[in-house]
Amino acid sequence: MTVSHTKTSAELEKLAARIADDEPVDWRATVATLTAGNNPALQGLREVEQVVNGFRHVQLASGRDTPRTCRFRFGHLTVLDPLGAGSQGDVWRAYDSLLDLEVALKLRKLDSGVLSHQFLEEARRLARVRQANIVSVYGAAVHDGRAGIWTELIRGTSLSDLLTQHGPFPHEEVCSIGLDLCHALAAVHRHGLLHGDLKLGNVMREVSGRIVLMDFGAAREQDAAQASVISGSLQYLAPEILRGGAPSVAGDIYALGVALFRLLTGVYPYTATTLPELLTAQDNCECLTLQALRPGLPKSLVRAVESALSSDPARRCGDALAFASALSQPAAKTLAGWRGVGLVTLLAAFIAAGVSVIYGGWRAGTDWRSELTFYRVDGRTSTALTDGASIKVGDRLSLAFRTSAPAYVYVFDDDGSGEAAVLFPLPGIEPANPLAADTSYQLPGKSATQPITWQVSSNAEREQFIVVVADAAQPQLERAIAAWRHASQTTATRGTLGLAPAPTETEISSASLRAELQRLAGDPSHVRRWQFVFPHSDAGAGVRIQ
Amino acid sequence: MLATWEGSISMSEINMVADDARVEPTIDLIRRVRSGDAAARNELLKRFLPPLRRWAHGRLPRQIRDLNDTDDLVQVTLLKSLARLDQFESAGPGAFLGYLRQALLNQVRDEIRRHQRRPEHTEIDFETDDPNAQTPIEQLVGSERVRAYEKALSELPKHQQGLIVMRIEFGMSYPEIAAEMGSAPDTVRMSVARAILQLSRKIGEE
Repeated sequence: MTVSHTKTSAELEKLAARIADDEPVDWRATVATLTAGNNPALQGLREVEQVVNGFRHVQLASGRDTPRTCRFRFGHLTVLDPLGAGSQGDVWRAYDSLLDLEVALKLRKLDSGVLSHQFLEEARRLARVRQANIVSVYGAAVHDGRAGIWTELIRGTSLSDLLTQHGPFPHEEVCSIGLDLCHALAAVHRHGLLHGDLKLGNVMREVSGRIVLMDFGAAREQDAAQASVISGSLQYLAPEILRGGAPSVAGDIYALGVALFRLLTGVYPYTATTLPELLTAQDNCECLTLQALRPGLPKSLVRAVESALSSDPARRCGDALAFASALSQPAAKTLAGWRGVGLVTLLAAFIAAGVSVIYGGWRAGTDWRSELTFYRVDGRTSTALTDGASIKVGDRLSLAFRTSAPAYVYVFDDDGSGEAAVLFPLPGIEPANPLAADTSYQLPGKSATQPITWQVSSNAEREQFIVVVADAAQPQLERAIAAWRHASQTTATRGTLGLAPAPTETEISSASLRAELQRLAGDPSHVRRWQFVFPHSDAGAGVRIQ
Repeated sequence: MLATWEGSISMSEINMVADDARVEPTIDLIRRVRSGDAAARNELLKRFLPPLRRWAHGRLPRQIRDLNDTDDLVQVTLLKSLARLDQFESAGPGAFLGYLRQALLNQVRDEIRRHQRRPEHTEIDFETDDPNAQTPIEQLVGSERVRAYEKALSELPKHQQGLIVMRIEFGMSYPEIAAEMGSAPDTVRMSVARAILQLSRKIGEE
């Protein structure tokens, strides 16, 4: 009894130390170990952990300067400048002091004719869908009688503006955008929702190249669609919907077809601009053809877009994933090849070698060798990550690196969000490139004298690390990555994820990272890459934020 | 995604205390201030104003921070505390920050009461989710939880209160706390863990 009691006390103290250290606690495992059942100290520790996390967050938020150009406040948001008007409300750039980041705040127009609860419905619908190409909702509230929704702030340009500025897009880019939007729609539909107003004005291209579907003001539940009033932009509405049919998955597919048609040609499939003219044009099959407007396009792309534009919904692709697969059929092969050059082969080799140690020299004709090992750092000990090892969110990782010749090293993280983050080199952290020959490094390195590690936070389906090692500085790469997200100090979210060999088809979601890797692939004797993929074993469900 | 991680949120001003052996311990500084040394007084202000300002950000309700007078409030409280230094009995090394924090918290509560006395605020109910009435920390973890934490904290011995406040509320690193306490970082880490466990027991038993 006494022994068990002492043991419990020691365990509890360890737990308290983890909380004090700002380390994540696996409560499920803890409760299983400390079977004391109704243990008040354990209960108290959970409460204290919440308070500690809260203080940590507040400290982070107050460490930065609060923007001063406040127009007005909406709850805890400092509203900065107007960004534009959405379907039901005005959109503002605002600063969220709790999250410590800039957000997009959509405020319901007082004369919009939409009730606050209907307006907030958009937030609830959207909050259910998490996907890289869909804008993320952070919160919704009513203050002073005004309903507002705030989401991530997308820094970029709408596709309709890009079309106006630069004219029709290259077909490869249309294909890539089409694939991204197919995956976004598939996620929306999987949640039993319809977008209802897909158009180029509602699709943004971020500075990083990420394609983001926005403005879910017209979205609705698939089951409730029958009863709802038709909304959306005329030219994007499918013929059956214009004739009174209920919005549907097939309707969203049609709208995507119209969007891609416009990107390719700059015009709508029907020249009519009013409803009666449009109905007549559709009845008379006066649909313009891609062949006439832009000859020479890959046949599969033409087939995919034109089938989406079929007047008969039954002749369109059955769902968004089928559309995606039609878009990525043979003629789009150039694109698939472009996306994966070199990486798939590398990845296969990497799995065969296990996760921990990879030797360089993957191309013949060079004796330059590099060794890379990912480590999990736990207090004073570190464990090499081997194939099949499981890691938890909150775990700290470092990369042991050694090279036989001076090397410029770049480490990236692509978490599927479409935006890559730079993990190394980091400003203010030593070492900086180039790394000396025959020296053992623990990356990312040290800030002043304090060793720094990368900490895995959640909110992603996977983490994909790309390590680029070059024998000379890569000024073009450095210029490109200067604008990317850099790993920064932040509080971790909690959850679990498994470490497992990656499926070889895992794509890098960031278009800009793909482009940089593609460019570097042309110089294999001077530049090498490794790719590590750690998928979350239970994406979504395994992630919880405390 | 990944983020870099450090042992704690670094507070550069206090960091200097830890990193630079020539920097005078707070307790000595207080002695000099008491003996009327103006330079020591300025040094003390320089050392504690920035972390207290940052701390106050988390503990002031929006309605007060809207007046844009957080800095004033912190400065006035700190000056008042310095004026009363002769009354301040040090409860041991490291207690000064806890003392300042309590003084500031009292000041904040006075401010809140002052606002509540205004007619338009008579109905303010701290149980509501009105974000203007809540402090950021309350918005994050809930008013009830913060109250339970405060109550349990006040029941702990002074030195444990100081440890928890320095580590949790001010985000100081163990070496920083050790410098304040005249102790070793490892010892401080153990003491903080024990203080947290004590605190948790009190909260859990409520």
